[in-house]
Amino acid sequence: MSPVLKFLDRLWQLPFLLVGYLFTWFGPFLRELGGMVIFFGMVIRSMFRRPFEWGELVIQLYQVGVKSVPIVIIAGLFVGAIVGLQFEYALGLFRANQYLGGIATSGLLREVGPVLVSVMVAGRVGAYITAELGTMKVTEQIDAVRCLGANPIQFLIVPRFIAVTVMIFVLTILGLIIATMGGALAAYILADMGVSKYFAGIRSLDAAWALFNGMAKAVLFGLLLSTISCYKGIMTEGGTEGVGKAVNSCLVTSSLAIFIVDYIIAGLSSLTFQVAESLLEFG
Amino acid sequence: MIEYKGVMKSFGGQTVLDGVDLAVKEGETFFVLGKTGAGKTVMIRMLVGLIRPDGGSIRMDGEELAGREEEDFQSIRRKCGMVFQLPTLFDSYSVFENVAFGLRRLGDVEEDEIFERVAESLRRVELDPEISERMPDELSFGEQKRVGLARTLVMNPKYLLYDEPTTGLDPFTAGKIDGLIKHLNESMNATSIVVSHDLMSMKNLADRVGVLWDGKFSFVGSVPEFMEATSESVLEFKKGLAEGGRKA
Repeated sequence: MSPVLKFLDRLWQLPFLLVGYLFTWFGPFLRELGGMVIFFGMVIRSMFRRPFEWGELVIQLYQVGVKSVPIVIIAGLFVGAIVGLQFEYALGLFRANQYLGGIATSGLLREVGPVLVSVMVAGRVGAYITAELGTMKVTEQIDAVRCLGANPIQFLIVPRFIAVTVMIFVLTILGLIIATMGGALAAYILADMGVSKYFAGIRSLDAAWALFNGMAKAVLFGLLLSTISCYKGIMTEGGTEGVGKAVNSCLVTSSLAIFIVDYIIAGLSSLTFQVAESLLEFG
Repeated sequence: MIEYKGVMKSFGGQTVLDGVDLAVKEGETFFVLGKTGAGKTVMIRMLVGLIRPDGGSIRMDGEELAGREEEDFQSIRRKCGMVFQLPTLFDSYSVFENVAFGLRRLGDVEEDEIFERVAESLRRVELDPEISERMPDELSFGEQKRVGLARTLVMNPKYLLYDEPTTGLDPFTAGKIDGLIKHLNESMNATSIVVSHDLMSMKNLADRVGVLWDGKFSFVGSVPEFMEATSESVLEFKKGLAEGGRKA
């Protein structure tokens, strides 16, 4: 690579490095956060380098996505049914059962669906990726990758990063569809509410906005989980004990990050509504 | 030729290499002895850019390695074959894919040639190419070590760097691995650095021996010179006080 290209290649990584190094000045927590920001920048940079590891990507898409489908279906069905039942009881107190489909689905699309799928995938896939990369690190396989002429970020991290991000999005859509069906099924069996009435309620509420909200969260959670699981794996130290610690840390960090970011988005979303309402009143 | 001049390295304030000077000649097998934690592995990992020196100079065929960036090590890594202490095979890849890994990364090697070179490399380490389709967990530890060696040899490296090649092996298998390394070094006319604390391996393989002691080479000489030397560090090895190694 010519010096000019090398310079340009690094120039755009500068913001990540600046933010990352800024964080590293303040204590262990922010140091870790800074490390993740720098790592995220390195992964994004490596995505556009050649050769792209298509074969490895297909393997990871299968590992992360296809193998997670059964658990997402089962959990989605039951969560949808539970949410439907809970709302059916509460709305029944106010004789407002006609809103069941709308309220239950809105809650599922906005909050429960994306958070639930992401936390479940964190438990299944995040832990797997951290353990796999961590084991490769402590058994010198990553050093072997480097010695054999491959860039570990390009060869190992980029395919896993893309697979987790893409598949959390796809699995969230699947989970939401199944959960909505679960809610409708519970309403039909236990509350004697017709499926058409349940789905009519969905149309009455802002389903499109709720869906957009949920999808945006799914993308964000996917990026969070892929960054955390890969970072924790590649930074593993201390033999097999270190792998265990890294997996534990990945699960705790990614679950907390998902809840915290979800809260921030919910706050911002609520603020947006309030501003929009004020503007409408003002108008 | 590989030359170390005043090479320094510390980890967390603890000095491991304290001004190492060494010249490894073309075609020789240089054997580095030292206790666990003496910095033997650090020395050879510096040659492929897995660890960077804090100071001093390392030259390979006249090219300076100290201060290089990651991307600038690719040409150096193509010249060096690193055999790790563990087999370091990729668990999700078959034996064939493991051995072919480096060739595929070159990007310009035809599939037929890859197939031939993998088979040839497996034969070199006395493995039947029929095992190509097997997965690493279906092999014994000794076989895994041989596949790791085949993966290194398939790249036809000019320099071979062995990190504790007989660690974890029974004396019989260790002896066979020693014989294999000796045969390979001679047939390929490669320049080799072997890092170990195994005195039997040293006798089997070494053209010259260096004892790494307190961050520097306290002794460099031939095997007979080593056997007659009376310095503290050499005596400690000869008395079998060094950790682990098979006695000579």
